[in-house]
Amino acid sequence: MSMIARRAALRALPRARGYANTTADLMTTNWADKQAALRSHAAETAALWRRISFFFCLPAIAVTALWVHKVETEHAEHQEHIRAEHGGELPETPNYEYLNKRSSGPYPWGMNSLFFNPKVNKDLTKTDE
Amino acid sequence: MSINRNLIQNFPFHLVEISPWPLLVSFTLLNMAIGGVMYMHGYPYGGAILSLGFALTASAMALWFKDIVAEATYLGCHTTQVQKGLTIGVVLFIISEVFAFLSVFWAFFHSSLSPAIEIGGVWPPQGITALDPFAIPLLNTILLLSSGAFVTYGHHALIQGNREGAILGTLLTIVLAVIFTCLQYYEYSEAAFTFSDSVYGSAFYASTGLHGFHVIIGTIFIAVAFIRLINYHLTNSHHQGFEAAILYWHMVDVIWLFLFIAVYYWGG
Repeated sequence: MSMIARRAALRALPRARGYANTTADLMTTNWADKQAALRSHAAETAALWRRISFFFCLPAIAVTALWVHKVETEHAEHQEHIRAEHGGELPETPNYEYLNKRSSGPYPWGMNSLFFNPKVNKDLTKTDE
Repeated sequence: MSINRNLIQNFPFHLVEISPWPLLVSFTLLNMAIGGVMYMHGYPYGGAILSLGFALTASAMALWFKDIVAEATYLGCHTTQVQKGLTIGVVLFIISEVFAFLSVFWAFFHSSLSPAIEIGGVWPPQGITALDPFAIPLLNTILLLSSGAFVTYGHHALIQGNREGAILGTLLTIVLAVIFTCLQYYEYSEAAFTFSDSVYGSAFYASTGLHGFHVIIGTIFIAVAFIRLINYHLTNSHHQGFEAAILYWHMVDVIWLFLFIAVYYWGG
């Protein structure tokens, strides 16, 4: 094809008008219809997840919470039993060298861990090192 | 109030204006990092510099995000093409977070699959009482899964144009997330083992601690989206910040599932 003919052929191609939508384009893309379909589908999906959330998840949380309450109460009673057997305190954790490691020295806030609980953790401020 | 003709662009991309916030954030992060190192190594005023650095970083980030909200919601810079780019960015960021968690999971499996003889050749090590996975950890699992369901409800309600549903779903997501964080704090306080109790403590608290940190970040992310939802920033077809927050939250949820199965159940 000659250069002029090739140029003419290229110019004859329909060109998109940048990123704007022509009316003709809108007719082919059915944007308005698609938006309406999107909203109605979202309505169904929202209703589904609303039912799942309120009628399945919330009862599941309630049931699990009751179960956990039962387990934790049993655990607390067992702990009390051990305390009673051991003379008021929990048996001390053995002095294994890999437990309560302080090889870099004390923490900036002291010898005990950040979430230190005197009931269940060994108090290192009282131990002779 | 005329539109300057030199502002009209014939391309859909967002060429951001010069901003001081990225440089400011980098300096405040350095401040926080140096403060952290000073604090942990006992240098004077370390704690003060760490706290100052944290407050400054949070403020600088807020100023940066505030500008992004202005560009998106009020200045119309976030065209469809820009939104696509932002979505790719968010997905890549979340993938990078997954890799961060992969590293702590690697550390956990490295130590637990073949327990060293020094800890008794068993996992959990001799002398460590692991937490019961079918107590609070199970409740936490149900809480996170439920929060995922609630946020899905809120999201689709937003697409539907249902304002009340969107607000209710998102609010309850935040409520469940906060309950999760409170329960984890309780577990941390009541656990018989600490961070310094052998490699078990290190692996457990490094993995669950990193996760807890991400839960707090994710909760703030959804809370910001919630505030924007209330203030009519979001439309039914354009709510990128909300969608990014939801994706982040799903990532947090999935990582918890892996944590529950590997660290709590198998490792307990």
